[in-house]
Amino acid sequence: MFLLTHPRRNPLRWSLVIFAIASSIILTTMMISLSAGIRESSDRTLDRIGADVYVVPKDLNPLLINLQRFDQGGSILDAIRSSPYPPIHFSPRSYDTLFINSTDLNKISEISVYGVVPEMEENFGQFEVISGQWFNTDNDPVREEYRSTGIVREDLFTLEVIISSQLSRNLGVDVGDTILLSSRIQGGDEFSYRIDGIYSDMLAGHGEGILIHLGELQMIKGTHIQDTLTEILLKMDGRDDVEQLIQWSESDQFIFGGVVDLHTRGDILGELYGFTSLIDGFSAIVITISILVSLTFLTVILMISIKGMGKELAMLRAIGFSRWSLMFHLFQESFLNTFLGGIIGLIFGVMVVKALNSLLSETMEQLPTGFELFSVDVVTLLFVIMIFTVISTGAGMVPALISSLKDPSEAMRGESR
Amino acid sequence: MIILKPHRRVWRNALSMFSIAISFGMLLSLISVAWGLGEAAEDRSKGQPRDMVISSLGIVPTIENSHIRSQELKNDEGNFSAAMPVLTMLGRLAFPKEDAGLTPSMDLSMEDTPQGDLEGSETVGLVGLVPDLAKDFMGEDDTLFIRTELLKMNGWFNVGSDPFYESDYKQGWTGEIIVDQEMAKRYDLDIGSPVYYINSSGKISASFVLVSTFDTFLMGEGLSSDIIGGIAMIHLAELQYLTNNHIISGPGGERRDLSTAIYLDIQNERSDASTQKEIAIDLERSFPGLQVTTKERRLYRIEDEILILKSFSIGVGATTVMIGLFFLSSVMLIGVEERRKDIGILRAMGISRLSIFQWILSETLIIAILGSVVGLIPGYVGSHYLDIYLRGLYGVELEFTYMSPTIIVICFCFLIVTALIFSLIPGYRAASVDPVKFMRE
Repeated sequence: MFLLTHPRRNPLRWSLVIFAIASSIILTTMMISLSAGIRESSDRTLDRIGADVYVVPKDLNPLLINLQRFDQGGSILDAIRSSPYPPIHFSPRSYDTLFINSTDLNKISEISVYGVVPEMEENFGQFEVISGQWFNTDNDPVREEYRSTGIVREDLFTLEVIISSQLSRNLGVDVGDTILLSSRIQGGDEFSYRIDGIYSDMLAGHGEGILIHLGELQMIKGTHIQDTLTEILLKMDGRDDVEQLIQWSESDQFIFGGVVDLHTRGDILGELYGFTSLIDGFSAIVITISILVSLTFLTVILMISIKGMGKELAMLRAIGFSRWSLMFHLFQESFLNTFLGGIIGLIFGVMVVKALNSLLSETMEQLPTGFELFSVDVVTLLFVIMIFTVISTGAGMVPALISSLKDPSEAMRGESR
Repeated sequence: MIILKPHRRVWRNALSMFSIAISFGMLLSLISVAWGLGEAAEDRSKGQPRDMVISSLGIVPTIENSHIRSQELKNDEGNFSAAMPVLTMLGRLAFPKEDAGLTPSMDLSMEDTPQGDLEGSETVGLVGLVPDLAKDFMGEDDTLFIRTELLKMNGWFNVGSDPFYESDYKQGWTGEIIVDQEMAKRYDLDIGSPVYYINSSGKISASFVLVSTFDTFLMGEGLSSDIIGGIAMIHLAELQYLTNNHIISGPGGERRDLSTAIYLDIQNERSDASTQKEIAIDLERSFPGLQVTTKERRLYRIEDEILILKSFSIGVGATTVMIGLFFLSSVMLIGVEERRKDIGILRAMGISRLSIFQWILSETLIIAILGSVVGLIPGYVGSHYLDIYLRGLYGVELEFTYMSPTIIVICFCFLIVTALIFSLIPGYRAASVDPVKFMRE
């Protein structure tokens, strides 16, 4: 059809239009991918950790996990385990800091520490051993002894530590080496820990950190008496149990209701989605403006283009082409522009998104491992396609309608104006 | 002349201008937000007499003997004019429905507290400080900068010292508390109202009396209050005692008087960058393993944090402008095609290629300039409404946007330079019309 060959007559003009549409689609893809990426990555990260319920201090926003503590950790876990909906796996944790003394470098630095019970933490996926092995001693002998007898037995310290890959690189230490840990900058007792393994923490990105037995961390920091924890992870046997446990924890049967709250994975994601809705609002404004600009210009260009083809259109009308047939062909032309622009935009959009993800994962050290801020998925692509179809239809409608309504005899009479 | 006949293409030019105006407005609004956040953070950080901060890695307090260490630093009058220890923790406060007439207590028993008769409880940011030392850090307008929050004090503690510390955490509990105005309003608190502290076992363990309030910039009713319920200030030793940071014993040794940071104000004559660097190195030696942050480093860090936001805003705004200019270039190209006849005649009359080129460039620039002038309106309105929207969302009285002549000029220059680049294609196409070939056609 002649109209479809029309762009060939003005390749430069149509190339510019296609580039403009492509830029618009790249921007749209990027904006939509941003909040989708944050949501998906958060969902994936929580899924990999594998906890269905997080036990955290009362009234604490779930996004601030690790910033506050609660006491009587063991008793709270016992109460949950003896509830009608006991978890199949659980892991009490304490997050704190210690001073690490690297004798080779003669440098003291403060370091983040997770106190865990190895055999319990093994059932969750936040920490992955990438070299060496998980702890030699699976249980937590110091804490078990203290909880049953009330006696601190320093001889039961395992002195086993797993360190993060970043710390291993920065200190130049490896599996089998020892590091000195202390609760005090100066003057405190130093504990010589043997490195059993090196881990990667999916929540800490390139951060430095270490894992030791929970009881040992509590003893070193002096929080063993109160049995202070920062969180307990629970894995439940099915969705129903999660809901039942939450309901139970909100009833009077749970005597620690004033100390801790139980949050589901959905609660945490819900808090996070509150923030992504802000990005969604912002994206909507950007996309709307980008569409408005594209739509206006595309309409102008098509109107000028159709105006220049006044005689050709009139001839077609005169030889019997119906108005609808002409309108359809004009739609085809605008659709061709947006389709080509859209395809190019999508390809470049995906490339830009991938480049941004790679750049951000390199530069933003705190970003969890594998966390992609931008994500293009099928729904996103469909949304983008829908948007450029709207542009194409909207832009083609006004000029197509005007030209098809034109009287052929009038159009044939003079030059189009 | 070519540009003297814009009325022939009035709708086309008007619509092009309209689109450029919207694109420009968007660029302006986005950049005003990025700059607004950066300016707010820098201004607040610059304006405070807090030249240096010695701090722990996170919120876990690790600075031992903080009262004594601060006093030692303050006594070093050659270098410092003020020093104060600060303990910042998250903790829970509870608010009774009615004034129970309690005297402040450090060790409330369950019988003393009105269980079940509470207005509510909140997780708040607790700040422990020594009032007399903190006063040295107050600005002339009674503002105090703690971590990233600027507090505008409406009053102050009655007891300036820290008597509970002086008695080795045995007596002298002042029970004075100052809370942010939003929280005071939410729980209908007046001066003299009791406030309870809930310990990490979920029990009310101490009581305070409200002695004043302060206004904050980062706390309000929106998303900010979803994260933490408010901010409260008490005497350092009292917060240490409540959060078990006063005396901790264990196999690791005994640690006393723990704080998260020591704020320092450097003597004016020692405040040049190189001397500050020397002082920072000395402090790093005295406090191994802790962070020593100078004002300069703090500003770098703020710039670093804002850089991502700025790059993103500029990227999105610039792309929108580019989309408009791609289209404008295409419209101008159509204009050139339509006027090949006029251009051919002009060339045949002896008008140079350069003149034709300049005319097309001028026409594109006129549309771009008019578009950007008109775009100031959506830019300003957009920036204003973004400010209102963000204030409402976060519920804080912070200037989220910053519009200045410099920003407008930067955006304007960007648009003009880009428009010039984009007008090269239609300009070149117009200038390349061959009059001989045209006359033959």
